Amino acid sequence: MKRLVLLFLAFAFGFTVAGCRIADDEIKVGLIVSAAGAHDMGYNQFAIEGLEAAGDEHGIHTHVVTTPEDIPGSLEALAEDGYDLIFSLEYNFDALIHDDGTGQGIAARYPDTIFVIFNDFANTDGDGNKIHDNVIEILFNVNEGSFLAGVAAALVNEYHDVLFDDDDYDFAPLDGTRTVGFVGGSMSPGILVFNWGFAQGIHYIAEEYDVNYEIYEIHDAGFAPSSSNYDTIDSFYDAGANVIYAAAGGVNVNLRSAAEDNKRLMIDVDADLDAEQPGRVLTSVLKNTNVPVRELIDMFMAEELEGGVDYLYDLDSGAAGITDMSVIADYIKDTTEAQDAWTYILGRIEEVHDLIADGTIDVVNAQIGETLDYDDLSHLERAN
Amino acid sequence: MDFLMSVLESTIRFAAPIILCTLGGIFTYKANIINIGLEGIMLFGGFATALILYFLGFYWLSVLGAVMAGVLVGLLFCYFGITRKGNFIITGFAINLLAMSFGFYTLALLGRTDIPVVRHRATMIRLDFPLIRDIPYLGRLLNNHPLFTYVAYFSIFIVFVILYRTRFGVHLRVTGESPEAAKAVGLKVDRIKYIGVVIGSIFVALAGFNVTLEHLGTYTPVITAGIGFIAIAAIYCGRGSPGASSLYAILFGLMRALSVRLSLMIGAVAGLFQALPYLTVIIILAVVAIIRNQRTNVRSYTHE
Repeated sequence: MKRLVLLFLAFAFGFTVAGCRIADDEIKVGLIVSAAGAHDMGYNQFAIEGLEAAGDEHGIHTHVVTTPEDIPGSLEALAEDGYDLIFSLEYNFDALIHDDGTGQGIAARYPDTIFVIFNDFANTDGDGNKIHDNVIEILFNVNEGSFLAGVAAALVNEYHDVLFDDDDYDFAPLDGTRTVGFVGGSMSPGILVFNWGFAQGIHYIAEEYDVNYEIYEIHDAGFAPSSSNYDTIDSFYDAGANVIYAAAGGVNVNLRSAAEDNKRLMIDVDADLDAEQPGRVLTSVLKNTNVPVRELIDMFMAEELEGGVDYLYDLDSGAAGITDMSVIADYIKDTTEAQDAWTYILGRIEEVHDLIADGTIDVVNAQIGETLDYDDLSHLERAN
Repeated sequence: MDFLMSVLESTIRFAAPIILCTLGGIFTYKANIINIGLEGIMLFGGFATALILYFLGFYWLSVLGAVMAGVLVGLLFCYFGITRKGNFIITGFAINLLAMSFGFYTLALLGRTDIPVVRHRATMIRLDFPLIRDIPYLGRLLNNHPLFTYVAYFSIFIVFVILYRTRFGVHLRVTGESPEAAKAVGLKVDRIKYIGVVIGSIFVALAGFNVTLEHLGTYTPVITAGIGFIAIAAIYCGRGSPGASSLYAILFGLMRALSVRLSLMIGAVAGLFQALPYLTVIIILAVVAIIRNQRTNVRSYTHE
């Protein structure tokens, strides 16, 4: 027993020494992953790739914390260790900004470190002023990507009998009100931003074609796959939804199963997941975290990076948008009629993309406190 | 009518893994062993299923894999609980923790957040009975479920036969009720307990197969969602009788289905309904206990 303890201590000591070997004057950049985990094929993984690429290029020391259980502890450990720039991907801002138990936020206690947070104006107070001048907020305009996804969903739905083979797909017919669905992990601005963008995109096409759409929504699915979530999604398809969009982490696996079982379409989120369930995923709404991570590190190395600001990544930045839909394109029928319809749809999406980019179409952004009133949408209503 | 149908349809699906877990647990219950490791055994079953499907992709091999996982974990439980005379609660708890951490560790090794098997749902066996299909309403309810959903309901009968119509069943029940008597007539008590636990574990592991492939199309270390513990409640409510315990299992399945469908209809207070299955477990356990206590009071001697 004593020998075991000694062995353990020797190991622990070895690790500590190894951990201290980095020279103090070296530039150190840290990154803390969110609960989705380092290998989520999206949000976290992209950020890590961006970090590693930038690290190689600039020859700086990088470190990734893959355990999201104790975000405040990790933030403090990295800051204490002299990290110059720390990216924190989890939705957990209180200890950093306001109070970590010592009476002040971690950002205030380590003023020489720049902290980067995502998806929330957590460093902005009620009057719009920044609380700490060493915190940077990054937001993705996923509302715009979701709008495009809504446009794609409605267009494909309107042309589904032309586009797809009846043997491989089993769509609800287009008589009367059309149905779509949205599944959200939690009732929060970070999720509603997807929902409302999607709803507006659907409505944009519904109004143009003068048809009525209804949308089934759920906002408390959580972020883990479960039988209950499968059933909920299945019931949306049962009710006639031809396309369902989910922004709920692991619940998207439920959506893939349900889309496969019902032979209908779905929209995935965060990463290019079109090939995860080929033929079922219409498109994925992207949040390319590698873009801001790269850019911020580049700015930091050029000594241009300052805290106390926010950066919005919109469609034009390449960090937000939807996929090129090349995977689903293989499932479009080979007839001239189908291919023409598909080309038309792709063209329309491109057109709407440009209208959003130049500001002609204004998409509600829940992240900055805007809300969508369904009563204002003449051709879309809530089904549940 | 549509609401009722959809609730019943979900009930059949939700109840299947609970029934399999319940039946598996009954074998250990009859041997007078408390096995709270049902959740862990089920998780190992699902894990083996997903791993085999993900890397090899053979349906029947994954069924076999789940069965083997059940046997192995059952043996592990027996070794520590019966041979080494460890505390059953601790052993069962250890198996639950082991199953979960094993899963997380493997996922980290694979560099994934789940092991998806959705694309193998196409090869999954669904039973389509032409006769039942054409019956109005009933056809929609009873037809076209995946194979192991039917296996679950059919197993109620099988387990009844094993426990009450075979020599082994008698031996197992005697061993549980009075190990001294069993020993006195020359039964090998430990061996019978071993066999009982292992057979039970196979049923539980198949529940893991059912949930992983037939319900979710993925494996993560949280897919069991308390089914193993709900099954334990069902066993105790039904006092270890395959029929009665399975009825409670179906009731819990119904509550789950109700919670899903009601929360869809009502919306805002939906979160409340998700507590429904667990609330039912508590209420039923309490009611059953009260009724039993009353009976024993009437006969004026203290039960057990």
